[in-house]
Amino acid sequence: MNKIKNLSMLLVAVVIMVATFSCSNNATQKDVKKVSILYPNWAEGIAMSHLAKVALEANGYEVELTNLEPGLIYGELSKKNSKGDVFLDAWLPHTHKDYWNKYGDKIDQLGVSFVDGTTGLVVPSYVTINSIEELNEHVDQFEGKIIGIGSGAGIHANTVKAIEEYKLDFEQITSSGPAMVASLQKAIKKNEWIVITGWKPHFKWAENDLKYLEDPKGVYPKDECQIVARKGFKEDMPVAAHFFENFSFEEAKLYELMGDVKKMGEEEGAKNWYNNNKAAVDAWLK
Amino acid sequence: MEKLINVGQYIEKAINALEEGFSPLWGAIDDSISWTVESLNDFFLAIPFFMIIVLVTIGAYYCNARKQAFKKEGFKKGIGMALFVLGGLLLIWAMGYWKHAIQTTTLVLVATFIALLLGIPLGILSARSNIANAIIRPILDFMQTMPAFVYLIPAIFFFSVGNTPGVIATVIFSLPPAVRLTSLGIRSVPEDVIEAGHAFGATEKQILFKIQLPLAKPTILAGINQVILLSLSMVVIASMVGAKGLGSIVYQGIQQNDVAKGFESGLGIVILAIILDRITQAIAKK
Repeated sequence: MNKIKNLSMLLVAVVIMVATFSCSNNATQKDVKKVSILYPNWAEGIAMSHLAKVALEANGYEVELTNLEPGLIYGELSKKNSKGDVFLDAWLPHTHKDYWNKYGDKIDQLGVSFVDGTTGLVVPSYVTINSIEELNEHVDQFEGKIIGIGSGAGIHANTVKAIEEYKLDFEQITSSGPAMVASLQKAIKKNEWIVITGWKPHFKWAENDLKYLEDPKGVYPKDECQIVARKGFKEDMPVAAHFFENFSFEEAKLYELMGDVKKMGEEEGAKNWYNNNKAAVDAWLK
Repeated sequence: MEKLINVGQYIEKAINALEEGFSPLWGAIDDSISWTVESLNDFFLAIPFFMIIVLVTIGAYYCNARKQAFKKEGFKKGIGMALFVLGGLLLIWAMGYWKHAIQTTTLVLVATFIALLLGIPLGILSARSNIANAIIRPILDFMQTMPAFVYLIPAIFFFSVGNTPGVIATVIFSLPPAVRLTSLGIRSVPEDVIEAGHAFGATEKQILFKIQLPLAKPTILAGINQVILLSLSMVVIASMVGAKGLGSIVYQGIQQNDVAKGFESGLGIVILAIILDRITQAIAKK
């Protein structure tokens, strides 16, 4: 049974070697121009993050995308040795207020990717009510459900608040952005009433006839999609940081990009849009 | 109902203190694990895919056919598995998920390796000492009944997003069977065999390495097989904290309500699981 002994000795040796080697290895890894973008699963964030990847890679960077829940993204960027560099879809100052209060002093703001970020409760336009205050009169038609997205999203917390403030007899169903869209489209096909937690920018507005319910108590704020980065990113990669400072979209252009991404898939769609708008995007680097 | 006792708060304080107190240690563990995973990935991805497929196919054939590899009986035993491995791996490659399958395999290998490095010595300890057994057992029960998702929270806290917290959570989740089955294997070695050993004047070390471990080997190998399968079942959950591989595609499939994506990557995980399971079982059968 000496085999087992020798084998275990060997394993320990390997572990020690790996550990020492990795510690000495860290110094050299910083030279590669590698940008790590963290993104949550929201349509505009997916589209913008993939466009940034395509554009930076065309200009000699290496880009890594990681899909995470928003809370984890803020937490990671606030760390001293953050593995992520930037996040292109920070809904500030309101929707992500809780995250910003917790981590904001350890994160840099770089730019604004989209100025007109709105959230609220959304219904198809054939629904005959116009305000959140009228929801309770039609609980049965809505089956008492507000179709929500992930519980990490700011809109989720605001909807909890809305249910309290307007004393709604509704419960919020936690799903995901795409599952919410699927429910919406199912309901529209059958001409049924449905209420969802919706936001702009989103392709659902381009494809369906929808409206926001009025929000007299002002629970749902108007926001910007901001670009935030870990502390030190600007110093480490000034050119890439400059790219993100200039990175921004008009509504129509953003829907165009999101449409391409939806039609052709993430990488292909972003590549296609980049090739059509190459000059404008490359100018962000200068 | 007011909270009378705030357990979570104390846990949070303890975790905070641990994080602050040992932060260089967490950094070193983080670096070595992510370096190991990345280097293994690069290594496997540098080998042309068809070479890996051929090697694994031959390996699967040999493990099943054993000494009769060049005889008719052996061919009958080994050919089914070999064809499955060949077809399964080619399918993964053809679906375009080769890179992800390699990343998943690496994650499983690294996590399994660490789990065995900790689990087998702990198993030996709990087999040979009743006190240790009394301490270790309830901890294992706790580890196995705690929902796997919960392990992600501290893992994320100590390590940056990426493969490391995924590996750590996977290790915690898959460790128990290694300990339990090692302990069980050693404890079920018949007393009279050990007495015979003592009668011939064997030392404790000889009893362990020359009698107990060899006789417990099939049970220990069954434990290893369990560890690998549990690791694989953790890869989707690990991707929620940024681990790469097939799991992250499944996670995107869930989030984006994309049946095709979810099914293809899920199928890839099933194929990997069957291959790893059959090969380790064949080795254990001997």
